[in-house]
This record gives sequence, C-alpha cells and structure tokens, in this order.
Amino acid sequence: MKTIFYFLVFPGFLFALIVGMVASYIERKVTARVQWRVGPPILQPWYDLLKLFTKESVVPENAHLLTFLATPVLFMVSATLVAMYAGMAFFFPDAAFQGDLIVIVYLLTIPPICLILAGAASANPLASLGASREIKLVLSYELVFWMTIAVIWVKTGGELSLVNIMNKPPVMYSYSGGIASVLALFVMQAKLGRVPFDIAEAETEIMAGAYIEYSGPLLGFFKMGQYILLATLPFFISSIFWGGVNVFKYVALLVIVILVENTNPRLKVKQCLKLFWFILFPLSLVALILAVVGL
Amino acid sequence: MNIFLPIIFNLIVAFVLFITPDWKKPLKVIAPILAFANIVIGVYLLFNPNIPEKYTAWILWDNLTKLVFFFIGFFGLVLSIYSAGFIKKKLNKYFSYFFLTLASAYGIILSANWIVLIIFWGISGITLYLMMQFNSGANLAAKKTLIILGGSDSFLILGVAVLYRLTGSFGILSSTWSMIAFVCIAAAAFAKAGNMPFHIWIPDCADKAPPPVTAFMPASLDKLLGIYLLARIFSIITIPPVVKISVMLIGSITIICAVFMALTQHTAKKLLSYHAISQVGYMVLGIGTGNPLGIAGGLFHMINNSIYKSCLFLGTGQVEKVSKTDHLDKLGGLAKYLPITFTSMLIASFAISGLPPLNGFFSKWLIYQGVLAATAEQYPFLSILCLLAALFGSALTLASFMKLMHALFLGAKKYPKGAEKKFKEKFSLVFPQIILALSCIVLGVFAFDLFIKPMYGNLTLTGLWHPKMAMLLIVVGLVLGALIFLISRIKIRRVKGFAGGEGLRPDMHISGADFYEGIENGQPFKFIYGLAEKKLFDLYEVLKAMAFYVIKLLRYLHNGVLTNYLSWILAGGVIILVVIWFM
Repeated sequence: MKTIFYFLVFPGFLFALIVGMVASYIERKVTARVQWRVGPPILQPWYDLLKLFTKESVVPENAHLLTFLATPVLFMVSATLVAMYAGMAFFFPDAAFQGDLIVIVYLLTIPPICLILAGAASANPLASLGASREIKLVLSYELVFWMTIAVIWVKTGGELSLVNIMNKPPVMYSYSGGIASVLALFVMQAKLGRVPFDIAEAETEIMAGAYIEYSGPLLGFFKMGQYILLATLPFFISSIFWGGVNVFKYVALLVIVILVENTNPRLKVKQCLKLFWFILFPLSLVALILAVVGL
Repeated sequence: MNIFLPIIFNLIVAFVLFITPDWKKPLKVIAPILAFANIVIGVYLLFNPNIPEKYTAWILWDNLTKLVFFFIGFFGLVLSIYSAGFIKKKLNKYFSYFFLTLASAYGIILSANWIVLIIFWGISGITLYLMMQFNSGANLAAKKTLIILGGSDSFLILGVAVLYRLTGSFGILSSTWSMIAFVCIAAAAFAKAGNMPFHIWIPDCADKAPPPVTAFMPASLDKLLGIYLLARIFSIITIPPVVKISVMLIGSITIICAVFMALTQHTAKKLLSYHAISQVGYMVLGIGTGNPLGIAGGLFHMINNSIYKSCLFLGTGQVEKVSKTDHLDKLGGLAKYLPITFTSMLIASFAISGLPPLNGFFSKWLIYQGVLAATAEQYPFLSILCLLAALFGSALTLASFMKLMHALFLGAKKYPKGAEKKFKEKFSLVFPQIILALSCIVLGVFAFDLFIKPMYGNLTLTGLWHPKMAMLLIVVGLVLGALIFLISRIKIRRVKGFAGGEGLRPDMHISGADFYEGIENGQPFKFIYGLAEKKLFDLYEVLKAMAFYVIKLLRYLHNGVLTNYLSWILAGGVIILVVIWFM
C-alpha cells in the first residue's frame, strides 16, 4: 500500500506532475521573455491539460486502435515509474523499494518506444517519419549516455544504487566526471526532445511527427508524461553527477535546458547522429580513459 | 523411474514415426500429445527426489542439467504444436527427426561421458540438416550448416582427446587448464550456439529453412546445447583471467557486429537470424565473466532468448504463411488482421530489447552486474568496454525491432476489402505464440521465484530491482489511466487519414524497411557493410574461395589430356631415379 502511495502521490505521479507543470511554466515564461513576449500565467499548463481532457479523441480509420490508445497511457506510467525511482533514492533513502541505475536508464527508454509505436500505429506517413526520427535520436544519444554512466561506475567502483552514488563525493569534481557531466547535459536535452534535438517532433517539418494524429485526452496523457519527464530528468542527472539535488541545482539545469533551447537551430537527423557518434562519443571515450587512469 | 527414460522414449517415438506411413490427420494430433507425454515424464523426473544429484558414472543431474532438461521438453511441446499446423508434407519423417532431435538433446545434457556427448552432439547436427530440407531450395544452406557444424564436431573430438590425455578418463570431470582443449570445445559450443566467427550458418538457415525448424533448432535447442557446453566447460576447468576477458571480448564483438548487420536487413527472417547471433553474444559475455552473477545471467539469458526468439520466428512464420513473403518493403499494416501474432511478437520484441519488467531485462541486468563485478578484478578498461557494447547493443536491438514491428504490422499500408479472409490466424500457429509470449512476462516478473531460488538458492546481487512490485505499479498506472479516460467520458471518433491536407494515397505508405538508410550510407558504415556484402566476414565463404583457388591450380595439372599425364609420370619417374641415384 505504501508503495502505491509512493507511486501515485509522492514522489511519484502527483508530485512529479506538479513539479513538471511548474517547470513547464518556467520554460514557457523564460522563452517568452527571451522573445520579448509577456508569457502565460502560472496555471497555464493546468488549463492546457483541462482543455485536452474535455475534448473528443479523433482516431484515424486505419490506425491500430489498441496500440493507439495504450501507448499514451504507458508513456505516462513509465515516466511516473522513473520519477518514483529517482525520487525514492532522494526522499526515502532507507525504504526497501529502490531501483538501481540500470533499471532507471532502461525505464527511461520506454517513453520513446511508446512514442514510436504511437506514431507507427497512427497510419499516417508523417507519424511514421516522426517514429523513424525518434528511434534514430534514441540510437544517437544512448551510446553517449551509457558512456557517461560508465564513467560514474568507474569513479564509484561499480556502484549501482542511487543512494550510494549520492553519498559518495560528486562525480563532477574530477576531469573525467566533468567531461561526462557536460556530455550528460547533451543527452538530457535530447531525451527531453528540446531544440536542437527536436528532430522527432519538428513541427515545421513533419507537424509534430508521432503526435500528429493525437488529440483530446490521449494527447493529454502524452503531455502529462512530458511534464513528468521534465521534472525527473534534471533531477536524475543532478543526483548522479552533481552529488544530490537541491532547488538551485535543479533550476540551474532547467535554465540550461531552456537557454540552449532558445538559442539554437534544429539539427538534421544525420547531423545529430554525427554529433553524438563521431564527436561526443570520442570525447566520452577520453573521459572514460581518464576515469580508468584515475583522474 | 529410470533417468534414461526421456532418451529412450524419444528414440522409440522417432523410430515408430519413421516407419509409419504419412497419415497426416492423425499425426497432427498424435505428435503434440507425444511431446506432452514427454514433458510430463520430464517434470516427474525433475521433482523426483530419489535421483541422486551427485555424479554417477554416466549421468549428470545437477541444477544446470535440470534447467536445460526442463526447457528441452518445453520447446518440444510448443514447437510440435506449431509444426503440426505448419508443415504440410512428409509429416511422419518430420516428426521422426523432431523426436530424434529431442532424444539427442537429452542425451547431450544428461551424459557424464564425453564420448556419449559427442555421439548425441553429432546426431543433433544431422537432424538439423535433415529438417532444413523440408523447404525446397534449402539444400545449399543445409549443406553449409552441416559442414560448419560437422567441422566444429571435429574440434570437439580433438578437445576431448586432449582432456582424456590430461585426466585419463572420458568422464566430464574437472581437469587442469589446457588451452587447446578449451579452445576446441569452446569452438564447438560457439558453432552450435552461433557465436562469431562460426555464426555464418544461422542467417542462411533462417532464410531458407521452414520457420518452425528455425525456431526449434537454431533459435532454441542449439542455443541451449551450445551454451550448456560452454557453461559446463567453465564449471569443470579453472579459466585464467586472460582467457576470460578474451571470451568476454568475443561475446561483445558478436553483440555489436551482429546487431549492426541486423539493422540493415530487408527480410524479416534474416533480421531475426542476426539477432539470434547477437543475443548469443550476451550469453557468452555473461558466462565469460566467470563469476556467479554473470554465469547466472548468461544461463537465464539462454532460456529467455530461446523463448522470445522462437516466439519471433513463429510470428514471422505466421506472417509469411498468410502473405507469402517476408520482404519488409512489401508488408505493413497487418496488426489489424493478425492481432494475436502482433501482440505476442510485440511482447517478444520488448523482451529481446530488454525492457523492464520482461524476462530479457532481468537476464541482461544480471549479466551487467556480472560484468561490473568483473571490472573490479582484472582488465578494468576492457571489461567496461564489454559492458558498454552490451548496453549499447541493447539500444540497437530495440531500434531494429521497432523497424521490424513498423514494417510488418503498423504504418499506413491499407489492404483492399475482403482481406480479412486471406489473413486469418490459425489456432495451432497462434497458440504456441501465446504460450511463449506469456512465458516472457511470467519469467520476467517472477524471475526470483522461478529461476534464482531453484537454481542458486541465494544469490548476492549488487543491483536493486523488484519486478513483481514494478509490474504491480505498471498495472496500477494503466488502470488509473483507463479510469481517467473513462471518467472524462470522451467519445472516440474514427476519421479518414489525412496528410498534407489530402486523403492518404497508397503510395504515401512508409514501410520502415529503410529506416536506417542514413546509417547504412554514411561512412564508415558504408565501407564495412560493403565488405560484409562481399562475404569477407564469412569464414565459410572465405575458406571456400581459398579452396577453389587451390583447386584451380590443381586443375591445370588434371586437364584430362593423356599426353600430359604421361609426361607427368615420366617426370616423376626421372625425379625418383635421380633421388635414388644420389641417396
């Protein structure tokens, strides 16, 4: 019962959703200020969700209904699971129900898969394109992500538990850890699908890609999942690289995301692949070698 | 009850079926019943406490044997049901070979004597050769398979001979370290399981053989037997660290290379066959660590891989049966017509990509912990590279399966009305897939109860993962989502698809077969794929080319002209005389 409370209320669904909505508000407000606009009120994300849940859902005739309906919900659920695991390590380090680093990173791949399947099930060529771009994006960043996590393992002696990683001296205060934590920022940007890595959505090219056929509550589930991810990923990156989380660290990461988002153009698919595999991967290899040497 | 019973039972069944005429209808019912009887005998023996666990002269009955023992019966049952629905002609011969394979598999794992093991090992290679030929046009592939497996058998014999020299007995006993013996026996295990560099028979076999045969031998039983032999070798010989790391490296190279080959395949069966190779890499990596966690992971992965890989092959067989092709660019949108096949293949592809809480994740998770533990010992940098190869290979696997699922079942492809009649699922083909997909979930969620506790009792894990709780939470979440959806009382309206402001045309369908064209055509991948296209990585083809080159030279001598032969004889005679003269 307690675990279900952790999952649904704190630090899981409700908490992460609210934090994510606030983060989303900050994102939109800062973006607006960068563009010399006033920006939305603080409750805007809530209004958005409310609106979506009162509209009807339109499903393409040729779409595979079950997949089309199930993927948005699974997207939200898996994001919640990640939020809970990351939050448990921080808020309840003594609780028996914990997840380790491998589990969390694997769970983090479920939301993109849901998106890909959703796009594939939409029976729309643009959605299919979006799905194919999303999976290429996943391929690009996954390699670098695991490399940065390998640096953590070398630094902490193969530690898997988040609690223990947070209790050790922060990884980023070393040459290898410094490089790895910078690379992790790239990965975080890509995982959140923010510019310059919004190739899967690319509203001006493929009209939101996999989301193109989604409307009403189904899109609402995707939105909630995105809010939760926006709350969770900076939290997670901060806990494993920066030796724990506090409001300053979290906001700092959020601001980095927002500023990069507002000052960059979108990369092409091939450029993104090249950036991650041929530029950032060698860098991460350097970081790994430095870590093995002990720097 | 006698422990030899499963072997004897299957041998008798094989013999009786061989001499009965080809009564199709009764055979379709009798064969699965016999396979069921086989698994009943197996389960009875497993839970019979009277069988001593210690080594007897001829029988091994430890946990490793018991694990493989159960799953041989399991796959026998599942695949006999599928085969009964799939194979059309010469059913008596087919099932005769089928049960002979089961008998030989039992023989291999139960035998405590190397000679007996070699005999059964050889039989299982021959039955694969025979069963592959139930598809017309599989002769060349079958020949290649037989040559590679037969060649690896000779390695096994050599390895056993060396072991005999060391221990003075043919029993499977612990021995001192011998490089030759280890390399030879590992080569045989690699060839059977399909690890690089002896993997080359698997793509050809999967491409040409009937899907149930592929699912039965290369995808499940051969994996069980090959990895069983590898694990057995690791348990009886103390392996030095440098060999361990070499085995781990071979495993990780297999993972990455095979999965990159899979990414660019354009037919479903070949794509799956490269995954069959790449998954072996995980097992070899896990067992290569030599620590309990890694070996447990490798063995569990062996079981899991057999389950989801045969499920995938069976699903592909079903697709091929109804659409008469497995070319990805000709398929698409089948999810509506083959819902059960779609769902079970989706679950299996999630499992192979290692998504929690399915079984593939659990075994990979064990392997990763094993490799992490190995980094603490020797060669930390190389071990962590192996770990990264495995982790990234998992992402590549996922990518490749997203392509497969999109190209087969989803996308915007439309079929004309009345297609439902053409695309119909048959119970005997679908039922095995349901069992296999369910086992993926059950083994993943109850991994601690079903695998770890019976096999090891108590294994010290470094990671934290509670699959039962996580599964419960996922279910709670899905129920909550459904509740929100119902409470908001939203209607679902179906509309015609649009793209670019106009109705969808058939040519707008994106198949998914070309998802990774960008990777394929970018350097340095283009160069490497080009070499693979020329079959430069194919040991068999390379050796064949070399052999033909030598034969071409010899051909100049043997051109059939009598005068040439006479002059050779004369020249030879002169040389002999000269030699004798100067001796």
